[in-house]
Amino acid sequence: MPFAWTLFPPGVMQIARLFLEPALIGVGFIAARRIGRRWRFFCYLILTILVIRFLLFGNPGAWALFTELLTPAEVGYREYDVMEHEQNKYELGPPPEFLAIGSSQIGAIFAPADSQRLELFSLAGMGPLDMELYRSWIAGVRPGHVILYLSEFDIARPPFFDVARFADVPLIELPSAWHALVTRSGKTEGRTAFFEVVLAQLFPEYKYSFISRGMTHGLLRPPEFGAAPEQPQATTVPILEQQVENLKKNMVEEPIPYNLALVADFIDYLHARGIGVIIVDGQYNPLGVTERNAELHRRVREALQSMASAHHAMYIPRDDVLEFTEADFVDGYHVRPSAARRFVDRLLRVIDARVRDVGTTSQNN
Amino acid sequence: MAFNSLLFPPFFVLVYAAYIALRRSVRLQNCLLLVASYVFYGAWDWRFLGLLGGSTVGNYAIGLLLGRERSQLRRRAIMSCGIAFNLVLIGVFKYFNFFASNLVALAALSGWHVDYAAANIILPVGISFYTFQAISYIVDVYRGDIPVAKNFIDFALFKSFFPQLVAGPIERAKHLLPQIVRQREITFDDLANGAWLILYGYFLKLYVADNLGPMADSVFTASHPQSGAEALIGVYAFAFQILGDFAGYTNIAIGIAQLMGFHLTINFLHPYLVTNPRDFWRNWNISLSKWLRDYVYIPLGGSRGTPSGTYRNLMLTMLLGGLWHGAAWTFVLWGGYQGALLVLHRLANRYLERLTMPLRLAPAWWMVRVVAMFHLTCLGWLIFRARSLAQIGDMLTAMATNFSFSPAVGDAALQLLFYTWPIAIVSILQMRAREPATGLFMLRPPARFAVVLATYLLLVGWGQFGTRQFIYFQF
Repeated sequence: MPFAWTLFPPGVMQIARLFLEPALIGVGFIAARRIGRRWRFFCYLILTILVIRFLLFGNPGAWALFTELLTPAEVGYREYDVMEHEQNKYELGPPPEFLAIGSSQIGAIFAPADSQRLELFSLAGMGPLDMELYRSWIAGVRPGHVILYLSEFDIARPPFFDVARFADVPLIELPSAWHALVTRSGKTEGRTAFFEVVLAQLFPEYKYSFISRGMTHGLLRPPEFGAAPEQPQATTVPILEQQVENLKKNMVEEPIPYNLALVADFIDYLHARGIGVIIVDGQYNPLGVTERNAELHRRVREALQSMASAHHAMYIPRDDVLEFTEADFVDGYHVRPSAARRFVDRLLRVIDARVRDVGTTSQNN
Repeated sequence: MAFNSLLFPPFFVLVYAAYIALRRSVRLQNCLLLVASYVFYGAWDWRFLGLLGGSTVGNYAIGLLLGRERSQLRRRAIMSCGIAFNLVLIGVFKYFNFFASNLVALAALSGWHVDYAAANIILPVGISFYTFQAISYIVDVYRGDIPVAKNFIDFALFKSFFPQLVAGPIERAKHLLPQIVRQREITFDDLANGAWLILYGYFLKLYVADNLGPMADSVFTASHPQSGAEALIGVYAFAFQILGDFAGYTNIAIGIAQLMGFHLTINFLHPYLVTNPRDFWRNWNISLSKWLRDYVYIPLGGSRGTPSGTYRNLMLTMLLGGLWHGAAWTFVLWGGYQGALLVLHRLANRYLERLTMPLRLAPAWWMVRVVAMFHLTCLGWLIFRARSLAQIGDMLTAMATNFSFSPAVGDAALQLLFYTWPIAIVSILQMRAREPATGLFMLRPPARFAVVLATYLLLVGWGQFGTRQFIYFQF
């Protein structure tokens, strides 16, 4: 049923599933009574598994309970965001004018904005690969425009193949997932991730096994055997310093072509469905800027600019909106709410002005 | 490609679909299975295919020669050549460096200094299994127990049948070849049994073995000394890891084969619910124990001679069994330990039985014996898993002199319990069943339903779906 997301808004489909799934399972139980005794065992087994799936993963109550009982520390940050996403799927509402998509960095910028025009879809560590994998769900939301907040921070980092299996990839979208994970990447990890995606779609219990592991986290944490004799406690590196250090050394050139190709595929997909794309020049704490990062930024910015003009998207450089200073950041990546509101306010004005200009130009033409 | 790799399910689905489509022709089915087996084996390293192919052609030719020859003397010579051919294969690929380095060390002790750099030989996956299978074929043909396999495809499939190719069970030609030749039927029971064995096999591997593996590793690879309690928990974890790993693999193998209408030898029953070493080997790696019995112990004289001759035969057989597991002194020592247990059991059994006659039927006494035997087995696993002889000494010393508990031991004990209680239940079911291999099917449908459902949910909820290698691939 997930492929129907492209026909109806996700919220509508999820609510419909809430009624349809139990009904179909009930019909299944009635039908199973008519078949031979030996095969009935298998039918009942499969139907019981479907009932358990519905109770655990097929209704908003279960997801609300999981997000209440578990913490990101117990399941992982991406996993926790996936649970919240599952819960939010049941929300009904008109299509938003803008949908901002990306990692927690985007979450920190767009969540504090109280604009009615804007909705947010963010997952920890979300990158171009995740955009491609979640694309049918994103298109199903039917936003007027999708806002991508991209810089070398997202484009010059290797994709996280290991979390690909959490994505909503309807079976009909598996060829595009193969394209994104295997053909485009050419990596063995991509192939493994693809098989995991298939497995996860067929067996949601496997996809969401982080919940069962999270529930037993206290019991099943790895024992620390052979602990070395007591040593003075190492000083904790402040999170800012740690993230700045990561910024300085983690960005590499190798994944740039792959990530750019995925962004181009994503823009084309949305464009074909009448959804505009706005690429906003992303920023991180200036403390993490090195000479190499500045060079990577120049390359990525040029590439995104030319991609935007070639694929009918809008590109907004940071100097058109506002440049964050060190004081605007709470850590290496995330901005303070006050700075975020200022940024979003200006961004929306810039977008409105650009849209007006385009309208005027096309009228004059 | 391992059963727990993500490539295996699509591979098997494709092979199975084609297999069912070709159900009218056993010849085409065998060709398909042969190709699939070579793809399966080549997925590890295509260079291994030459070795498998060479071994197949060699053993096939030896079989044909044996079939043509009438003179008993010449037949004996051909059989000896055949066995030597297989031993040379396994000797070169598995034991060359071990023997060479030990000879060099021995020469150095005698004052000769030999320059030797270890040859870079990759151990082909499963070589010990398919070599032993080939030896049994040659010996059985020589003894006249089975006819010579004339059809090359049939023989090549017997040698390379992918479910059991890399980690057993070690099949006898007498058992497997007739199933390859005749039209196979797939009954409802085959499907149900096969599906259960596959599910339970994956459960043993991904839920039990791969969750306990890191715990065992953290003890056996620790760089500093641990407490005795930690060492003991590590040994317990390894005991269940190796059971889950190996029994898991062979259960999947047997299940997959059964889905295709083949019936392979059951390889594991309930090895940790036994009361003596003899019963342990009747429940653990059954196909290897029977192989060693039929092709080493009995030819050496078995128990036909004097008691001391029997003890010698037992020790020699188990030493060879230990060496079969790997080219290291710890494996030889493990084999010797198992041999010693069997000898001691044989020596003391009669007196022990007389002494404990009044307790014979008491469940508590049975429990005591099971616990004692389990710990003797664990001592064997400590020898088996240790990186060196020194580590065995260190861990035993820690257990004897520094048995202190820590919070980590408590955590680990809980985990151990969480990951092993289902094995205990299935083992008890198997033990009580008239047909132990199918203990599950003696249950009433609702109980059977609950067991299957719980196995599935524990597997998908807590299984480690990585690709941790099967331990027995290295043998």
